[in-house]
Amino acid sequence: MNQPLWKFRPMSRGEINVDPIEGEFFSTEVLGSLPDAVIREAIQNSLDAALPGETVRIVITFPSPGQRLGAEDAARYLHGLREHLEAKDSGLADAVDFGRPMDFLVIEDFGTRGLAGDVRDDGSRDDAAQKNDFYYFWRNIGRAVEGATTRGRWGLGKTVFQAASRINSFFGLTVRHDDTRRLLMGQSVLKIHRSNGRRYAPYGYYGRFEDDFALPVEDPGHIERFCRDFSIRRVDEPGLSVIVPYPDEEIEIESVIRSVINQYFFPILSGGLAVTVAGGAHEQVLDEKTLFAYIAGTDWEDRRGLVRRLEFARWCLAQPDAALECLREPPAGRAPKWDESLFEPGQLARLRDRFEKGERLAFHIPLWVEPRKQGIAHSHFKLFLERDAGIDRGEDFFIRDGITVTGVSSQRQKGMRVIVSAADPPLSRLLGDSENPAHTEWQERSPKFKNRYNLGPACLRFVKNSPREIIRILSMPAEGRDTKLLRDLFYVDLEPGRETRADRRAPGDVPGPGVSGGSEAPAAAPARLLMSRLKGGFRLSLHPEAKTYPRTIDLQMAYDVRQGNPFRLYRDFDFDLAKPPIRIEGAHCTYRVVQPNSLKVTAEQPDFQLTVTGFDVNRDLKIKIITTRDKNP
Amino acid sequence: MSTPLRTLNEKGIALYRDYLDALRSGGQGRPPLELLTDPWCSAKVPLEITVEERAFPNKLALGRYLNEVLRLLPHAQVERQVGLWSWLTLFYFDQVCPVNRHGRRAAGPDYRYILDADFRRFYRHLLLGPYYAYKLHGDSAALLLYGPVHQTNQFFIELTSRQALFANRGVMEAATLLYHDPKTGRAKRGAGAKDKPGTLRRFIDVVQQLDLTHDLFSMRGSDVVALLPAEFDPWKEQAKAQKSLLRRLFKK
Repeated sequence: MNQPLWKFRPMSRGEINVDPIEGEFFSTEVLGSLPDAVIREAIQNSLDAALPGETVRIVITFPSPGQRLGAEDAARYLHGLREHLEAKDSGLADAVDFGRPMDFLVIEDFGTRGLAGDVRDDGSRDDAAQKNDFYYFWRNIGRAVEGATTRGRWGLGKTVFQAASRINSFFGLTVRHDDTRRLLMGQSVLKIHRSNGRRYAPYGYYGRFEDDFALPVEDPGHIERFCRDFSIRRVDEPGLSVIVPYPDEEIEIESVIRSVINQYFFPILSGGLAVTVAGGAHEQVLDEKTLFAYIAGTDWEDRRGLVRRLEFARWCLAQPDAALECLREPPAGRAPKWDESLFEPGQLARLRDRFEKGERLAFHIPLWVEPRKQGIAHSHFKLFLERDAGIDRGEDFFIRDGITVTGVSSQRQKGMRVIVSAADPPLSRLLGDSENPAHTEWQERSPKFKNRYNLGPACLRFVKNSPREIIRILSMPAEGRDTKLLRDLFYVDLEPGRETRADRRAPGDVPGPGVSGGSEAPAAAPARLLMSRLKGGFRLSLHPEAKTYPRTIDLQMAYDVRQGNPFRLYRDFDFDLAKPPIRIEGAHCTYRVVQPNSLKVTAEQPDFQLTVTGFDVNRDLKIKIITTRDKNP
Repeated sequence: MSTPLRTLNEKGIALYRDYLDALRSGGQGRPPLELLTDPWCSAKVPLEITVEERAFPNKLALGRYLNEVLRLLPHAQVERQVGLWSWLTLFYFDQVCPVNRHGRRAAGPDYRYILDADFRRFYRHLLLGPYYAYKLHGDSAALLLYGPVHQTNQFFIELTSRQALFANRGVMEAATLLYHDPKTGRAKRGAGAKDKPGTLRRFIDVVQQLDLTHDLFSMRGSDVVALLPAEFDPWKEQAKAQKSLLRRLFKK
């Protein structure tokens, strides 16, 4: 039995040079952040591979300093890889110090089927469409088998694991549900590079080799040692464990927890998903029972809003089908449109009345879809809406098969929160086909969507516009006199003490059944940081009344815009923190420019001070501050 | 030759649409010019207005001409008249859908010929777009309106799709000052490049940021240009050089 090692294929003479580009599909510009991308893709893959009737459990482990792998032990798992990583043209952004202990991140799923399929499948057989998770996970990028997945489409998701590693590499250990085999492999994606005078292909594998063909390691002794070294929890339960060596520093416990909550609150609350985030001796379970208590115990500024959003989601999930307001299906064969004809006689007046009173509303909205060359399929989606006076602008969440598609939004009406959930297979398939590789948008022009459905774009728009259109229809002015019409323009201020909680609450603004939080949620935390304006910049220091001070502070900056998220609209040309004219000075703190518009600051003493200047004085600067663990001064 | 201005009715528009569909399906029949005067398919506008058959060297000339011809009609009545704009594109069909070098007419989407009220496609009408741009900005719309009538340039698409920018005189003047080359009558080379500092897309981004801190509606183009950051310096320098050259020529 040959020893496992890393191997890259030497390229032949005349072979075309093409560097991998799949990382571009997952640029942080598209995804928002690397932790978001890793969590989104890892959990999505696991939900796709769920065993029927089982709750998918995900365990994300950040090893304590003592659990990190010593340099000598780490070298065993880098055998054959280091010379490629150290090649001048490998494409790695920063050099890694291999003399220090290896940090790593482990993402494991349980309750899933693992990577099933023939491990020797090299794609040369005619029955390539046969479902083979192993083949598609390890030997394909940018390709996914039709119908093998409900959530993914592009076969690009796993590339986030490489993107998350500072050496662009990861290991995967699977235990398969069907034959209980334990298989270990690894993959590394570099650029075309030269090592010892030879030119190598960008994709390298860890495993055993038959010539250049990689096969998984199955030696029990080797796998057990691997599991010990990387603190893997899996013994023989089916599923997949992904190990990301030298993870990007941006991936931290708190950012991961936030990503899990923001992107997967719906399946967690429905009981289909539970996520454990473990760091050293502590671990946090995020499931339907613990989620609210965890959020309430944080010092997140937006925790109150988050709790209300989750209360609403829980209420949505608790609604039986019989309680939903069923609309009429739009006429088949014509582009579906939002208008009053979708409501039964008398239904609209009743709903407007309930809407006006501020009640929560739940809809069952039928919609046909017609894949080309197939018949019409009847499908539906659900829409839930509530008023929340506490939100400045409209919030809508589009959830397809449990994934929150974060880039879709249709309504901006202040104080309205809407959840659209599509899980019925025909419509869910249509929406999934329109998703971009990062699963953040529904696009009419997506190549996997275009020309695949009759009136597909119209159906897509019907779903995307549903929050805005339903609110529009329900908000149509009733006949008669409206005594409250101008109350926001002509009013008398009450003294602060006279304003009651009931005044602040919107009509019908009640917590969902059996939920803590909402009005019980803790009040906003006292200010801990002081931001002072300087010409062309700002100064950051500890607030004089702060009782604790944050150890690490993440600062993100962007010029403000009238519409849209300024941080997403930031471009390198606006400013680059690492280049003049921007000037950064720190006292009793260290700082690092992690992206051209973001800084990571580590406070060393309570009297730390950070000054950043050199911004354009003609534009407004928006600054986002995220703090993590605190220290007492 | 002058022809009285008319407007297509629903039947006329439907037949015109059928013809465009047929073109896109490979048919090469002659344009249904008879609809222009057919009393069952079109009607005369209530004023004595005539249009001339003439070839326009670019969209700027077309915009200027349409503003002149339609000046008697109230603007609010003109801008949403689907029948009027459809009649006009049919009248100038050889210019909005010319016969190409293969001897064929390649028809684009309907909204280029038949006015579409949707705001994303409204300005993409091949005659209303230039008319509107010229109405708002006069000769400062040169950047938006260079090139032949049947082609829509990138500057027009990017700027008209942002209503707040398109309607802003100072911003449009600034864009023209920076990116229009009066010598060639076209955009300067590289002005529309992607992912380059100081180009059109960056101009749009930065103007949207400045819009929060300055009353851009009340400013002149040169004032807007003065606010732009250093990445626009090469374009500003060019604009300055052009201005001084024009001044010298004018003095002579």
